[in-house]
Amino acid sequence: MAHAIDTAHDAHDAQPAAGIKRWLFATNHKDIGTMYLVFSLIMFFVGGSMAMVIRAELFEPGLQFVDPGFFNEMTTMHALVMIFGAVMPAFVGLANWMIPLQVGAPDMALPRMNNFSFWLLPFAFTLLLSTLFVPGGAPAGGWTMYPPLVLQFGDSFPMLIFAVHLMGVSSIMGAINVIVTILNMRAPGMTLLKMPLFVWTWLITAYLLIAVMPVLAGAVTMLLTDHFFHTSFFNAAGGGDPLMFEHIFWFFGHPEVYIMILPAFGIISEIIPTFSRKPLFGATSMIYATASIAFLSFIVWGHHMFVDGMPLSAEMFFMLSTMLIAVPTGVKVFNWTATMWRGSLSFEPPMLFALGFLFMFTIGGFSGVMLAMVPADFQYNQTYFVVAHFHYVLVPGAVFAIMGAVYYWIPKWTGHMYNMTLAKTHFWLSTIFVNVLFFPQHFLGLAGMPRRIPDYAVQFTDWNMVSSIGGFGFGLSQILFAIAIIQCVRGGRKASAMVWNDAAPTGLEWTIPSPAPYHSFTTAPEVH
Amino acid sequence: MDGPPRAAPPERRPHRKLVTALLIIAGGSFALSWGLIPLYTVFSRDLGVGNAESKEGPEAVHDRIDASRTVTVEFIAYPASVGNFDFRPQVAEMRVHPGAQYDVDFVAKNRTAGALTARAVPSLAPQDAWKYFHKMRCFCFDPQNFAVGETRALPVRFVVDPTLPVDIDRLSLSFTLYDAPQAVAH
Ligand code: HEM
Ligand SMILES: [Cu+2]
Repeated sequence: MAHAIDTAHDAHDAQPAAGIKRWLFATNHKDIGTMYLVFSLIMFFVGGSMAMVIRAELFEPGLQFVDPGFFNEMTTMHALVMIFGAVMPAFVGLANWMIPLQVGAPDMALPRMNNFSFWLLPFAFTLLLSTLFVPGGAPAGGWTMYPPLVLQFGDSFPMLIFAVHLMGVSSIMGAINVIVTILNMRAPGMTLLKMPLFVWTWLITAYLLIAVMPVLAGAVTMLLTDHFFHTSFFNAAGGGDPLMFEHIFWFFGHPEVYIMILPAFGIISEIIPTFSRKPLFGATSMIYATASIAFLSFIVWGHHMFVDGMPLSAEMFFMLSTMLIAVPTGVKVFNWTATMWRGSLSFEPPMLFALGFLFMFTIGGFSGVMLAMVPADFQYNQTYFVVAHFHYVLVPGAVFAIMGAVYYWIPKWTGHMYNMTLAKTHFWLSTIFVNVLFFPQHFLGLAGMPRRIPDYAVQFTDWNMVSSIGGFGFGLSQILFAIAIIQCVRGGRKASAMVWNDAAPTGLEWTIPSPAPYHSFTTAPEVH
Repeated sequence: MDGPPRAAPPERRPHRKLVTALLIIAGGSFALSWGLIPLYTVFSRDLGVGNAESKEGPEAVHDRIDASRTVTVEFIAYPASVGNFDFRPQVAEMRVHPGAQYDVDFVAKNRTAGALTARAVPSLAPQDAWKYFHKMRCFCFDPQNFAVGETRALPVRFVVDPTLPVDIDRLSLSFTLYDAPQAVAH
């Protein structure tokens, strides 16, 4: 009897289960990867609509559409949704799809845990988004959750904390899965140094995740006990110190920003060599650069707190260590550029996104170095200059890399080519509008416009209008992205195993047919 | 595909040890976040940052009054919990001679429908002036009880040290009033 059940189970597993069960009980890395990516795309549009509310309100000075409280809810929720709901799950989705294919493993190492990590997310975000409807509204004190402000929210406060806990557990489990897959499941012959850079950067990111997500969990737990159990971790009246929250938060927060960019570095390091038809320049130095960025990211958190009260010596330390990060980052930018040098370039959509990344991420890196200078940061802190900085590194940085990755690998996932013209249009519209959207925010910040405000002095009007127009344009352009993806899932020209035939990409993922069969590498490939 | 795929993917190396090690790292960083609290206290005491109040030791009163010099002391009151208190200084500012002792009252009114305990946290600008500003008595030393609707004056007695650097001629003393339901007032 037991035997009969077992074979039934096996037969069941060879092909995807029918209907909703396939997704609810998914343990197949491709199914889970798909779910992560779809979830991320939905969150991208949810967070994007919040951004549209923000930009609509800021189109003109004065209060037009929303009241200031709701505006603050929008800025806070936009950040939380985009960071934890869009960017991070997109990278985890890509990891799920591609890491087993790139290291020649049949699946992720811990498939059931994988299912659990994913399914926590819809709960976490339902909880988070439902705060919009509770008395007192959603959290509105910024995604950084500084006390004492965050403690003054109503019912949304415990919901926020619990949602953050769920997201944290999900990311930690996801990270453990990635590390175990990479370290234990590689095909014979796939030595660490032979691993593709996407795998390498994810390995390092996963270590960052398990090192800092628990710190965030600890910090928000302290908020919870301060609020409900009258502890005084951050309560000055009871001998605590709110400044300490900032230290703990940014000890998590700065590595977190690198969690959102290191896998992007990996993606760019895959795309540029393919479409330059040259191996990656300085591949080993890329690995060392990634590792040093990850290490440095633990000792620079103070650059978020220059104005919050710190001894001069600490300000100097954080300033210099932050500037030091520019060195390994520069190595990377140099290597990508050198890879293209005398390469035979072609400009398919993934390459366009990679080039967009290269130029615009670098702009964000430069404004980062400006912000790292203590006296300059005294001026820029809490202005739109900071907003411009982190949007340059995150939107044409992390988000463009994700889009590039989707355009690079989606034919492998669906077996179809997508509409190239549509994808290129998507790229050009996004690139134009993202600059119209964020570049003027540098000017606004230098002129002194504070961030997180619904209304502003009239002299800021012109650039805000420009920025809002860019915002609406960028938002609308993303509909093309959704259309390109949906079309590619439903049909299209048949993709070959190598997909980009004339570029002859290297890597195990291109040795299996497109679409990738439901079970791949059940017998390990030989790697030489 | 050769052979039927297995229900669970084959383990190319055992996972249990690695997973345990990774969980220990995650647990360790959770512990670290709590460990940062005592660390922070040590650091801020040794580096002289953070809660300025806690550093203030008892100091001798200077009996030398410098009548040739006047310093303006401004008073600012912040009610931290929205709506619970009306809280303001009795006078907006005072012109004082260093070395002399002065009294000023702050006034707080409980606006809630219940009894409240509050605690005030002082702050002084410019920050460097803390060591020249001596509070001889202060309502901020103790939690304060308020009955329903009670309005009460909260006294502060202070001396500005005559060694106050000459480039400082204006000090702002502010208090933030916090709800402190867990504190016990005497
Ligand atoms: C060369 C590299 C970088 C340097 C030197 C740098 C430096 C800085 C500094 C000094 C600040 C604080 C500004 C202030 O609050 O006054 C800051 C803020 C920020 N950075 Fe960067 N940064 C770099 C790269 C990145 C990357 C790669 C990301 C993410 C992908 C990122 C995301 C952010 C975010 C999200 C904030 C704002 C956080 C907030 O206050 O809400 N940065 N950066
Ligand atoms: Cu940072």
